Amino acid sequence: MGDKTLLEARNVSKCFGHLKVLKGLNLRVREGETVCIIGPSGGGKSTFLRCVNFLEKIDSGALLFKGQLVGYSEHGNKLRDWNEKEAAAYRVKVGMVFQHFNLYPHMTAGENVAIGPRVVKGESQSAALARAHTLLAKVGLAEKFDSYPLQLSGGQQQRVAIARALAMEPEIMLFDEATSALDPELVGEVLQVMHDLATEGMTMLVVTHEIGFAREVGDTLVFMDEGVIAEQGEPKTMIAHPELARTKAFLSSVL
Amino acid sequence: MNSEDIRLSADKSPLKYARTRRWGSWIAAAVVILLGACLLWAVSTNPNIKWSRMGAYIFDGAILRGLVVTLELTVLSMVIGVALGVVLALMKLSPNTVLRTTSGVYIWVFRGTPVLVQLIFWYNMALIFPRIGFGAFSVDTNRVISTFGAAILALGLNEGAYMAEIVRAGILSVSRGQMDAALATGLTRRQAMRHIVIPQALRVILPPTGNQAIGMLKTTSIASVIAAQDLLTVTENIYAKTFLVVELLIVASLWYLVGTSVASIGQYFIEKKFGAGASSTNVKLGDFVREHVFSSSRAQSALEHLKRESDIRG
Repeated sequence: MGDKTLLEARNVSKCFGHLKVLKGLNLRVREGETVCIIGPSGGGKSTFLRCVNFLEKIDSGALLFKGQLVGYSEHGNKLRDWNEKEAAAYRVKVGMVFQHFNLYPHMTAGENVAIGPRVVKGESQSAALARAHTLLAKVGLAEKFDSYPLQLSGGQQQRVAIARALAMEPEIMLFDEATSALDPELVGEVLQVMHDLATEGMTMLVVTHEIGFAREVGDTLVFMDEGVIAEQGEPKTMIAHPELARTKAFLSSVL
Repeated sequence: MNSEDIRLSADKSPLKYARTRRWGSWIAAAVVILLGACLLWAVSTNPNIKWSRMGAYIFDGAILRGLVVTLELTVLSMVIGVALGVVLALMKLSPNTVLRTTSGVYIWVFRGTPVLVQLIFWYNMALIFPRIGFGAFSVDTNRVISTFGAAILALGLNEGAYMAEIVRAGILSVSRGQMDAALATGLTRRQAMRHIVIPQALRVILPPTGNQAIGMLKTTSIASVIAAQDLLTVTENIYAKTFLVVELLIVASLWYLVGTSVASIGQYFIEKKFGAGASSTNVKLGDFVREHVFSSSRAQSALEHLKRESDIRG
């Protein structure tokens, strides 16, 4: 893990109507780091990930990716909103895995992985499919290349979704409760793939309820509650000795 | 249950399976056959219907030319309707308030007034705009909007409003997560629409579009009020001279039936190929007849479909 900051959130706020979801959030993610975010539901974890990916626009504060503002481009001394192309170009660098997989049901596993490189990067169909095959092999699903999402188990679907995100060669991967929708016996296979990714040095921002994963794989553990980061630290220490009473209460409720 | 005897235990005598008698079906069949026969007899022996003269008109040149006009009206109006529907649906789903409102008002007006009234409006366009064009370049309105043109405009523009709602419902049926996932992999909104959302929406859009096309084939008959030379117009022209009113109406009905039946078969194959949960197995005409003519209802086949899908999910 390097010392260079890849992603930085400075005093980030976000409302939906009158509901304040993020209330001045500060976070730094270094290159190669795995940051796990835990916390009660409704605490703004998913919203924060969607803001990082620019699927949602923040209301105030600043998000910096490699020192550049997310959502705005500089023109002289003026800031302008990103256009559709700039937003798409940014999202290529930020991979995202969703709770409900969101695979494209009308495409095979292989096509699900190949469509991004083909449409966005203009790769040829054959080259994109060949690389999709390699990526599916990496998540242990080479033999499911021609299967449709409906024919796959939840765990397999989520692994295809991870391969689909990796196909764009992102610099950071966001996981939004990637194992929450899975049957218990399928959680392990997805966590294993995530573990392998972290070991390879991928920068990861992981919203999860898997405290075990956070302890073993995470470099930093973040407890998010009511739209801010309440506590953060080294996972093993923090899980054993949480500082705040509410962190302690939350941990004891999920452990 | 097959006819083999069933022995529940060694000491009892074997049981024979007695088939449940469906008396209701037999009674209903008897009543229907009786009524049908009465009707057939009443019509076929009616001296006021000149069956012998009807045959000659089925393949009459004027009737066939009218049929061609009806088919042209159907196809062209549907093409305009579908194209316009897609544009109006995208406008209505757009974040741009002006586009959204424009589309909303269009749909409101064209769905809220009778298509017959719209047809007569277009036919009489020359009353308010005797000439149309820009500046020095203008032409006589009645030249541009012929009866055929007025019919195309009325049917197509009206259809656009209905298709807009069908397309919009199709697009909305695709879950939000699909767009999220596509955007997250770096597709632009437009690319995501084209590659991810529209192909899935099509499965919802196709079946009602087929129904609209079949409906359109019949609705074109209203173009006869402006004498657009469609099937009904020529039919009326003939019976105005020959007084064979019912005979000619039966001829026209036969052709409308042929048209809608062929279209239904086409719709069936298209749906099987592209529709919701399309399976790759070969579909045959026999399947269509089984599903549509003999009992097995749409709802039933939909249920079977769900069952097959849940089998795959396992």
